[in-house]
Amino acid sequence: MEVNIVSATRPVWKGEAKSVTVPAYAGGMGILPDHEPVLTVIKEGTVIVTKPEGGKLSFEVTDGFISFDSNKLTVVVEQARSLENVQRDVDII
Amino acid sequence: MGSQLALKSRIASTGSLEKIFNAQEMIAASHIAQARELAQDAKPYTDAIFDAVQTLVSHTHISHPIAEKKDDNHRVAVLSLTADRGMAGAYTSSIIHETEALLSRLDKEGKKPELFVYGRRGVTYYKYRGRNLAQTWEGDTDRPSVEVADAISSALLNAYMKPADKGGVSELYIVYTEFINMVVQKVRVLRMLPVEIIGPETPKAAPMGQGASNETHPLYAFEPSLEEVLDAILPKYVRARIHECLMEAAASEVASRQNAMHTATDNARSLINDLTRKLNASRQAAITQELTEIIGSADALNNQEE
Repeated sequence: MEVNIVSATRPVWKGEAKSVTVPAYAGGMGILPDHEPVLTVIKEGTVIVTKPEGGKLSFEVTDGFISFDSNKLTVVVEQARSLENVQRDVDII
Repeated sequence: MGSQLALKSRIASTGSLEKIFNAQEMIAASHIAQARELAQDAKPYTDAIFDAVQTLVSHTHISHPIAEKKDDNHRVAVLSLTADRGMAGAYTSSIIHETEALLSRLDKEGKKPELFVYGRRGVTYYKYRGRNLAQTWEGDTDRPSVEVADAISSALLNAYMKPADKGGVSELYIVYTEFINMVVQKVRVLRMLPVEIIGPETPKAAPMGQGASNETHPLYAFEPSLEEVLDAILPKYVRARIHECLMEAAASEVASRQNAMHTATDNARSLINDLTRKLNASRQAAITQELTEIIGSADALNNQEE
């Protein structure tokens, strides 16, 4: 699925992903391809993107929302910062 | 025929003015690139919010104070976007002109406008005339940050959400300059609040059957609830639109400053040309006069000798 992370000042990241975890209002929420269309408020936390080849990227974000529709996920936040790439594959989930 | 010394000093001073204008023009040109970059960086965010609001509109009926009119209140807010610095031609004065027109129109409609001003020039103008300003913001009009947009939109939303008896307002108008291209900028009045949300351009549901419309609009899940999603997204939508206006005003300001400075440079050059011509004519006249005097006196001497 396509992922697009944007902050108020600039686009942060765009690319393909196998799964994404976002800090939803009531705890982490995982999104896999073909999820039902959803518009969810998210709070401050970490967005973790798992790339198709297995690597992980994480982004520290402030409050905002996500929208998922026809396999496109848009993460819209006030501010976002890319954390160091987490390359270890399986041990963090 | 002016004195040559005076003409020379005028040419020198006009020449240095020309250099200043030229420099200002080049500064404005470089700021345009910055303004464009800023607008491009903010665009994905704005687009994402607009898309989300479109989704909300096409899936539900929005009933939220931000999108609905409170008719009982005749106080309205007017935000006028002016420049921080001058030397931008008619930029600020046309905004002020349009603002005055809007204020008197609102007065006629029996509304009580409250004025919010962004930009030092506008603030100075109204302060000098002793007008009451509800709130003002200064700084960064040629490079509006998200923080400024946030400050403005939260102040205005606060005023809008307040009940009428506590000084709330029922509408918000923005007077700003629309950037059409480098040469053309147009002053526009936009009613920002209550938000008029335009649905998708093609109403797909009408000609097709119920089943087809269900297909094109899959059921959306709003979490935690529709109300909370609206509460979270609509203020951001307003802020994004205000930020858009600010950026457009900034681009217009810089463009009109560049145009004004370009005209000023041209004027200075043609003034220098005129003055140089006058100086040459006056030098020529002085030479002619001297020659006439020499020839005249020589003739007189010759006549005496004979």
